[in-house]
Amino acid sequence: MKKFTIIFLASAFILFMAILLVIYLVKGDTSRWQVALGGMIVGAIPIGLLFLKENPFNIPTIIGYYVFLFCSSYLGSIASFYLHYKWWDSAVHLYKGIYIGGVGITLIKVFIRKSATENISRWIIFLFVVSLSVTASILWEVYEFLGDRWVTHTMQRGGNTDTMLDLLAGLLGGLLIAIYGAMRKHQV
Amino acid sequence: MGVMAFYFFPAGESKKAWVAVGGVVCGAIPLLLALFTKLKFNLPIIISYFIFLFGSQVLGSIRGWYGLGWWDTFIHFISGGILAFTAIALYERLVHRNAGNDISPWFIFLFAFGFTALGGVLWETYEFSCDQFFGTTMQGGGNTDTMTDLIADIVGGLVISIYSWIRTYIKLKKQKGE
Repeated sequence: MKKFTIIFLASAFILFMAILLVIYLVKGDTSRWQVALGGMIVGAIPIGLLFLKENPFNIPTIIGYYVFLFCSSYLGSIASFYLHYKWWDSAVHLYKGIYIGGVGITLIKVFIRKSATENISRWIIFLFVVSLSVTASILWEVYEFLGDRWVTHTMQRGGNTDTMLDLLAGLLGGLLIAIYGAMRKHQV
Repeated sequence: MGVMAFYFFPAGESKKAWVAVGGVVCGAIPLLLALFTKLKFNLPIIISYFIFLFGSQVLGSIRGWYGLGWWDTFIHFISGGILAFTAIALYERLVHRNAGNDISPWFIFLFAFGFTALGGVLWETYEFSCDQFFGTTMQGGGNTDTMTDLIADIVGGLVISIYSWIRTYIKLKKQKGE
């Protein structure tokens, strides 16, 4: 079932991006076909999970990944939500914070054996989840920063305020899921 | 720091005096933590914390070394390392000893690294909010300044996280061998 979900979502998303790629290549819209190409590549990443001995990510996590890709690459960049709606960027960052928080909970399950969960404080879970979420935000901003330095000049065009709002939205999303994770420690 | 505060106020250097007052507060934090909480940090962390305070407040703000350009980045690098050490100390307090064998070294690595990133972001948030609400210029360098700070933080954290990963890995190997 999980394998089927991954294959189905990955092929649907890649096909969708491939169509957009062709459309914008014909139109000669450079920035949009590049986004579509990037979308195809990141859309293919979950296929790598099929080769793992045991795939720790559950179906909601996988669906969440494609929701994120759709919101950022298609709605955000191609349909220009990032330009038309100021709050869209922050909303996607908030969602990403929540999402990485969820991934953090999955990672806790992978790295800590079930027998040991009794022996760890809920504070560790809280801190781990929120930290992982924030790490993802920072790495993203570093990527934007270095990208602007060397290739493009537009990703952090909002300047410092933009960077800080991104980080704050990511932090808030991570906090929400960390509180949830710490409260439900024993079910996790 | 108390002495410095009394020295700078009459000298009309109120900015330096406030830094010194801040120093008194920051210097008192380990004392308060020791008195009112059960958390106990080991000596290297406490010593490095004071080196950090001395580096940022006395040398950086009062002696004006932040003007050097690389000093700010260097201090962020050091603080990243200290944060990662703090994360490891916290980790050891919050996890029972007998659980150690069941936890992957990757967890410790990610925890220490992530904790540093969290510290870095909270710091920049503090600077950003002060700038927004009180009109100060802590992030005067703009985006490049913020990003350089964050990168220095996570590089400092990364070094210590890799160190702790290796240490845990070796420890687990040894236990399995026994």
